[in-house]
Amino acid sequence: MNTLDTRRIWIFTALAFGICWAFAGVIYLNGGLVNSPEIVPGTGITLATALLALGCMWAPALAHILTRVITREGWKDMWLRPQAGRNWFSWGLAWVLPPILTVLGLVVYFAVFPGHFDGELSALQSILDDAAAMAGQELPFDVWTVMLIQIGQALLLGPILNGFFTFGEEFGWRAYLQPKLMPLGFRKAMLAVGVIWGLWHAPIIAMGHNYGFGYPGEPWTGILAMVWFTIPLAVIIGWLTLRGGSVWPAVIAHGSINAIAGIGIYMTHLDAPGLNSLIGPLPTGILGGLPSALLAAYLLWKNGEVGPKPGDVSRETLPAGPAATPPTADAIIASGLTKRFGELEAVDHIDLKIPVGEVFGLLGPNGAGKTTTIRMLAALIAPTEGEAWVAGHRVGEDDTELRKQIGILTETPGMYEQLSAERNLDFFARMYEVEDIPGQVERYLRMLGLWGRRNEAVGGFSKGMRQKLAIARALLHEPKVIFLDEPTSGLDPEASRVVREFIEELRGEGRTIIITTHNLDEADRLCDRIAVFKSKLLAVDTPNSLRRKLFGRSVVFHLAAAKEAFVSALRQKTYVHEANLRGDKIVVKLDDPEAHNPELLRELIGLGADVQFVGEIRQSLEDVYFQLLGQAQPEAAV
Amino acid sequence: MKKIGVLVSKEWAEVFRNKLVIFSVVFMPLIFAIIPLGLLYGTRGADLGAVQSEFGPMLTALGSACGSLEGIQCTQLLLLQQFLVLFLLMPAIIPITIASYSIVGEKTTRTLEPLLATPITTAELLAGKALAAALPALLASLASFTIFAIGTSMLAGSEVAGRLLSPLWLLGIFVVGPLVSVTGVSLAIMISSRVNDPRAAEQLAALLILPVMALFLGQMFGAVVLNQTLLLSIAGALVLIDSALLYFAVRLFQRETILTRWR
Repeated sequence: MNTLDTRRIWIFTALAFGICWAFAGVIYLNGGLVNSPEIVPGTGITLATALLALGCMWAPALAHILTRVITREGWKDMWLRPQAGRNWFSWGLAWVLPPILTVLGLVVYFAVFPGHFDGELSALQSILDDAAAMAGQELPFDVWTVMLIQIGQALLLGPILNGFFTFGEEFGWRAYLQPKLMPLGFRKAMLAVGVIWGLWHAPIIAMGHNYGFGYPGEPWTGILAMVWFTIPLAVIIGWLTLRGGSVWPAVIAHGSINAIAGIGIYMTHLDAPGLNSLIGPLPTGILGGLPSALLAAYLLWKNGEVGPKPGDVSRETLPAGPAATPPTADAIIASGLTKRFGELEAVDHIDLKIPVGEVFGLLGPNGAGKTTTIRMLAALIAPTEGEAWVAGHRVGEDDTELRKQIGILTETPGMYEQLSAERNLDFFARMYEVEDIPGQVERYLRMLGLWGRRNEAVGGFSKGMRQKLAIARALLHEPKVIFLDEPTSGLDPEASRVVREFIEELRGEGRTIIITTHNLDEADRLCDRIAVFKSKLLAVDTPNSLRRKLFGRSVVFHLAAAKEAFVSALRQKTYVHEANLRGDKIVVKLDDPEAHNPELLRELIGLGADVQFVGEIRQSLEDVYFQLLGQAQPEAAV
Repeated sequence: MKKIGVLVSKEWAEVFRNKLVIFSVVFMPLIFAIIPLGLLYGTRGADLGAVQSEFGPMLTALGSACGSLEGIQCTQLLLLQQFLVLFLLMPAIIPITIASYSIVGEKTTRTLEPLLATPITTAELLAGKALAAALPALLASLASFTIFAIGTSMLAGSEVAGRLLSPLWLLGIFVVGPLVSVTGVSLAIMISSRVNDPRAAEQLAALLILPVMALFLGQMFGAVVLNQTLLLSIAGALVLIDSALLYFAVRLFQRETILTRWR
């Protein structure tokens, strides 16, 4: 199940805040943002600029990496794969949405405060005048041309140039914190990321970043305004991340915002009465950020209740989270599951649903892909295409958790030959973190008749004993789903019978069991449903249904002396599909023997036939199997 | 962490039934301690002039290590110094047998698939395998060094034995030794996860001792002077090499390839 990993969330948040706020402390002690010393003379690069860009903006990325290292989480699901080919639209949106929203924010702001609009772009003109004075010559462009160049540059290059720094933030917020919060659901996760992200800015807001100084309620209102800005942004960028299945659209979108956000300043009378940076015109202000807020609200409304369906559970599906768990009635769901080894298509787009508590047989010739399918479902190898859910866990997503829920008897189960039976099981019980290890080991050793030999090295065990021990190993941790790959292969009839009886016991405990076997009689006896399989699924149903579908139902009348006249009489019945004479037997094919047998019997007796007994022809599962595989069909057993 | 401990304990329960492993872990360190002690025993009452004429250039090169020690004691110390490399060789040799069997051994006994089916991560699996191989080697090297130091104290006196606790020796035993061990183990595990035959794994991994042997021979022939600076440089290089090897060991351990290509 997808549960909230609070420990990792706390560690990540503490690190992201701790690292950035420590750098903010250094900036504060060295003159803050305003009076920070220049570290590369003549370039304008101050200590504050450098620490903000490299220390603070990269703090979430560093926190992401450190959290994985500290908590030994591994390096899966980093959201780094660009997936641009399939998600070009997300990338495109990431590029253009921020400028559109920023411009709309300016329109809203200047609509409310028309007096603040400065059509002569005095602020920019003043900068250009200073630059011209320094250069000692007139600039070749007028102020609006410069403005358009500035906008063009922000649109085209800004996302890329800023990407280096915004990756630092996005690799933390969107590639780590957001997925960790998704079990809360799309709405809560996005809001939580937005609030955390906004509060994280607190020290630099207090030092005048974005809102300057002197505004009412400084710095607390500034921090609140920042949260107002980051919540919609978290929703929009978070949505783009989920949509794109990658962190890169978020990097682009964040870079794009940073590039374009400041242009409103040039269009504003900076000495206009009533100008308040908390209100706008920048998107960090309440009015400037209104379009973003409206879009975010729409996304929250649209995606809040949507959850992926079991057959539609790709990462790109919006949103992931708690709803991303398939219905618990099915222990296994496979959708388009495919495995290719180079050119060889070992398993070809199989779709399966196996309910909880079912014994399900996978039948097929050698090389049909049965073991490969089991290995994919047991998260031992990755599917090339498609997806699967086993015991509520998506294969390839949280495989360590998935493996706790399954037991597997491999095709050729090995044991540590030098160690005793008990020591072998003890080791695996510890690996599965079984609570009562001695109790469970004893229980299964006794159940499978190995308790008396528990102290002997497995090297001296017969094949049957090893197989039983391997079955015990697969069950020690009481898995919900059990895969048994040819459980009776190579066993003598007595050992096979013990294993079959044991599987019957497991069925009684309500566990889901998937068996592969070449023993069709065994499959017939044990399995609720079977799948006949040869890279593709040829048929899935109960053995009896398959028989009926493939062969229909046939009744045989054993007579003392059969005559052609009896057969002709039976052929007259409308419900009889076929009637044939075979020696002293008449074989009749019909749909509903229970309903029609009495009448047929009366007819035969009426014609003077001496009916010795009546039976139903039951096609063997072998017949079904060969029929499905398109091979020669042996004579049906009567 | 718990799973790593469980794996180490299982590995030890298995490998210490193998006589070759017991020989490597118990007897090799003993032999490596006794060889220099035997030589030291031979220098008791030796003609100082003869020893100095035999090892003259080398002793001159290392003369500064003697400090206040004079005469035969200085000569004894400088002779012992030549065997520091043996204590670097041990952590490299001993774990190779264990580590090279670690993955390929699981393959041959068909236990790798059930093991990979447990909720163990690749990092935990490799860490458990590596520790199971490296810890006995490090403990054996330490025990060997202790025997060597006690023997030196008995044969050459506590002043010479005390010099074995110099920064040079401590750096060798406690820093370079473990680093060499990590190199050996990572390489052996990497090879072990890529080959199908335990013997091939062992033979390939055994090639690792060649650089250490070269160092030993170089020192014996006076081509290399093993001093603090050289050891520090070796340690630095090993840190880089080990980091790369550990990274690649995890990267090269492809569960899927190992399971599907193994027959």
